[in-house]
Amino acid sequence: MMRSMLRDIARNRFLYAMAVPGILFLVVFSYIPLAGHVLAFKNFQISQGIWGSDWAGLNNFRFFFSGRDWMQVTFNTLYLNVLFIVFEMGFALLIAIFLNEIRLKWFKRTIQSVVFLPYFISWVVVGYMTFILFNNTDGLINHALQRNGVRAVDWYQTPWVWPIILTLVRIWKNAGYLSIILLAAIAGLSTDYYESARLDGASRLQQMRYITLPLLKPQIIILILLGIGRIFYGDFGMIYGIIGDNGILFPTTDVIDTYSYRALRQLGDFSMSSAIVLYQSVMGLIAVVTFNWIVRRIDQDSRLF
Amino acid sequence: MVKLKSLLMAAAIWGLTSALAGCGGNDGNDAGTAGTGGQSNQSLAPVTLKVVVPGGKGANFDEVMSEVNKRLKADLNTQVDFTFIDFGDLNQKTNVMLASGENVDLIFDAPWLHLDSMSSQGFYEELTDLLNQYGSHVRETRPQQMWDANKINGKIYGVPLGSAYTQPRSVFIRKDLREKLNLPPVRTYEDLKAYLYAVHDREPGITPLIAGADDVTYSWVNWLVRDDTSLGVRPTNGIGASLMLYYKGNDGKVYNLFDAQEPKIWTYIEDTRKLFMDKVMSQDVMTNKSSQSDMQLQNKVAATPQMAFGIPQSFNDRLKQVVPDGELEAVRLFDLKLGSNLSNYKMDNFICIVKASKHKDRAMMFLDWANQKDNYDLLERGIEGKNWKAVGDHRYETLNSDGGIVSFQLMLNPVLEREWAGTDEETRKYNQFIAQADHFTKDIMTGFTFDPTPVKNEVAQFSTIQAKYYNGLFNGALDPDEYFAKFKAEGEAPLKKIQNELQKQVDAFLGKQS
Repeated sequence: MMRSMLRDIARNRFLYAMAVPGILFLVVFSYIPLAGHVLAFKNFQISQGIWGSDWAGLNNFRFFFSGRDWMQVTFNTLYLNVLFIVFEMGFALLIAIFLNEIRLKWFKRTIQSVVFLPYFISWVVVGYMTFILFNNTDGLINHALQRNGVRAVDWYQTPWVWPIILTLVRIWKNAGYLSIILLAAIAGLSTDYYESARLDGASRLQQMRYITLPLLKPQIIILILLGIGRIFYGDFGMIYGIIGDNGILFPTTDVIDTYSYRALRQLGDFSMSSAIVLYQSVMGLIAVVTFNWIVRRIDQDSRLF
Repeated sequence: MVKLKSLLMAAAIWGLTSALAGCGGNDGNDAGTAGTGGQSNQSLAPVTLKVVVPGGKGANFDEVMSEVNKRLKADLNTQVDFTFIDFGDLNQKTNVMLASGENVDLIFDAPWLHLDSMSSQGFYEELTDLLNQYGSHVRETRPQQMWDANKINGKIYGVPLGSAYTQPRSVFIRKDLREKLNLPPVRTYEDLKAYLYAVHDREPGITPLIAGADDVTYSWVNWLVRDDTSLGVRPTNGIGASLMLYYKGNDGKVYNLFDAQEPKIWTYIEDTRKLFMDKVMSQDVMTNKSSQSDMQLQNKVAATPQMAFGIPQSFNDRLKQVVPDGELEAVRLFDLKLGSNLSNYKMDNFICIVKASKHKDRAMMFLDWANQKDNYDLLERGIEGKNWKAVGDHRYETLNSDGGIVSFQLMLNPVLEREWAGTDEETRKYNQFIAQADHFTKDIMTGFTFDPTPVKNEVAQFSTIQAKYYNGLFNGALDPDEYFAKFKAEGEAPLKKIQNELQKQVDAFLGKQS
C-alpha cells in the first residue's frame, strides 16, 4: 500500500509538486494558527509570551455567556446568514439561467458586467449609499414616499426592516458574482441533453426545470457549503459599515462579530477576543458538518466529505 | 467613521488653537533656549528610529521630513521613519504591532486608546531614568503638575502631550443666520436653544443641531454636563467617557446613574429628548456618516459641538465656498470663574518608548531634540518663511495652508506651542485660562488610574449593553421613560460590580494620599 503510493508519487512527481504551495499555505495559515486557540484559556500577557502566561480556565468566556445577549447575537448571526445565503443563491440562479437564455452576445455581456460590478464596491461605500437612500433628513426613499403621498418612515429607528434591507443589499452586491460561477457551470453542461430534450418537444421552461437545475445541483451545494463555512466570520465589514454604532437597530442586526468588537475595543484583551474566535470556529464547524450530514442524507454524491 | 473624523478634527483644532502657557505669564522656564549639554553626533552610531503615530501625511510631508532628517543627521546621527495610522485602524494596528513585537521605537498611545492596559502589560519602558539622562528639554517644557498627574501607578510610561488642563470646547453656530434671525449674541444655554428653535422655525433647509452619537464625549447631554460647573459631575473613565459612573465634586465617591438618577442630568436627558422630538436635533444623529464639522461646513447643520474655543480660519474659508456670506461663531458655555472647574491635569495624548526597542536611549534623545524650540516649530508648523512666520516668541502667522507633520502625536507642550496670530481676543482669553494649572481646582482623583482587570468581564459586558442605549438616550433618539428602564434592567448588575471595584480602588488610592 505505502509502496504503491510512493511509486505513484515518484511517477507523478511534477503533478504532486504543484500541490505543495497550496498545502504549505494551508498548513501555515490554517493549521498552525489552530494552536493559537490556547490563548482563549489564558490570561495572555505579551511580556510573558503565550506559554508563560497564566491559565484562566473559562474566565475569558464569562463576559459573553453570562450576559443575556449571546443567544440573541448568535441567533441574529444564523438568521441573517440563512436569509443571505438562500436569497443570494436564489437570485444568482435566476440571473444565471436567464443570462444563459439570452442569445444576443453583446447584450448578455453587458448585463453580466452590470450585475457583477457591485461585487467590487467596498462595504464602507455601500454603507454610505444605504445611508443616502434611507436617512431621515433627506433620504431618497423618504423623498419618493412623500412625493407619492405616503408618510415618511424613520428607517434607522425601525429595527424590524433591517434584516430585509440587509438581505436586499447582499443580493445586489453578491448575487451577480455567484451567478458568474453558476453561468460557467452551465456553459460546461453537455448540449446533448438539450438537443434530445428539444427533439422530444420540451419547452424552454421545461429544459430549465428538468435539465439545467438538476445538473447544477453539485455546484449549488458547494457554493452553499462554502457560504455556510463563512457564516461565523466575515459579516463585520458589512454590518458595521451599514449599521455602525446605531444601538436602536442592534436587536435585529447585531452579530457575534460586531458584538464582540464593541465589548472588547476598549479593553484590548487578546484572550477574550480569542475566546470569541474559538466560539465562532466551533459554531462554524458544527454548521458545516450539520449541513454536510443533511446533504448526505439527501444525495450521497453531492456531499463535500 | 464620524468619531474618527471628529477626533482628527478635534486634534487639528487643538493644534491650531491651543494656548501658550508662556502667553499667560509664568515665563521664565523657556527651555527652548537652554543648552543641551552636549550630545555630539561624533560619538553616536547611526540609527534609524521607527515612530508610529496616528494621522496622515500632509501635502508638504516629504519636504519637511527631509529637513527634519537633515537636522537630525547633523545633531544626533539619527534618521526617523514615521508610520502614520488612520484613526480608524489605530486601536487594532497598534495592538498587533505591540503584541507581535514589531520593530518600533516610539509609539503614540492615549488613555482613550489603551495606554493603561498596555503599560500594565509591560509593553512600554519606564521613562524616569531616560528622562533624567537625556530628556532635559522634555522635562522642562512640561510643568511639574503635569508630570505628577500623568503617572500610571506612580510610574512614567509616556511623555504627556498637551498644552492645556482641560479640553477647549464650544458650540459652533452660524453668525450670519443668527443675525438674519435678529437674535442677540448667544451667551447661555437658553439663548442657544432660542437660536436652535428659531433656525428650526424659519430656516427649513437646514437642520438646527447635530451632536456626535458615536463618540460619547460629543453626545449632547455629556456636552452640557461638562460645562455645568454647578453640577461638578465628570465621567470616571472606568467605562470610557460614559456618565453612567461619575464623580461629583471632590467627595471621593463613585456614583452610579442607575442608583442616583442625578436630577440635573435627568433634566438634560429629557430636554435633549424634546429637542429630538421637535426635530431640532438631527433625526439622523444616531447614524450620520459624515463628521459634524463637514455637515456644518456644507451648510447642512446650524450648530455642532466642537473641541475648540474659537473658529479656525480654515472652517470659515470652507463655509464661504458653500455660502458666500456664511460665518461661524463659537458659543462658549465654559465657566471662567477661578477654581470653578476641576482638573486632574491629565493629558489626552502620550508618546511612549516601546520596551522591545533596541534604541531606547536614542529615542529619548530624539524626543529631547523635538522639544527644542527650532525643531518643535519645524515639526509643528513646517518650514519657517514658507509655511509660517514667527510673530514674537509665542505666536505665528500662516503663509500657506500647509503646516508641519506632527503635533499632539509627538511633542505638543505648553511652553513651546505657538498661538495663531489671527486668534480673536475673546478666544485668547479662554485659551489662556485653560493653560494655567492654578485656574483649576485640583481634582481629588488626580493621579488615579483605574485597573479594569478584576472586572474586565463586566466592563466588556456593560460596553455592549451601553452601546444599545446610551447614545440614543443621551442624544434624544430614545424615549427616556421607556428605554432607561430597559437599560437599567440589563445593565444594573454588571455596572454595580464595576462601581464597587472602582470605589474600592479609589478608596485605596485616597487612603494612600492622606
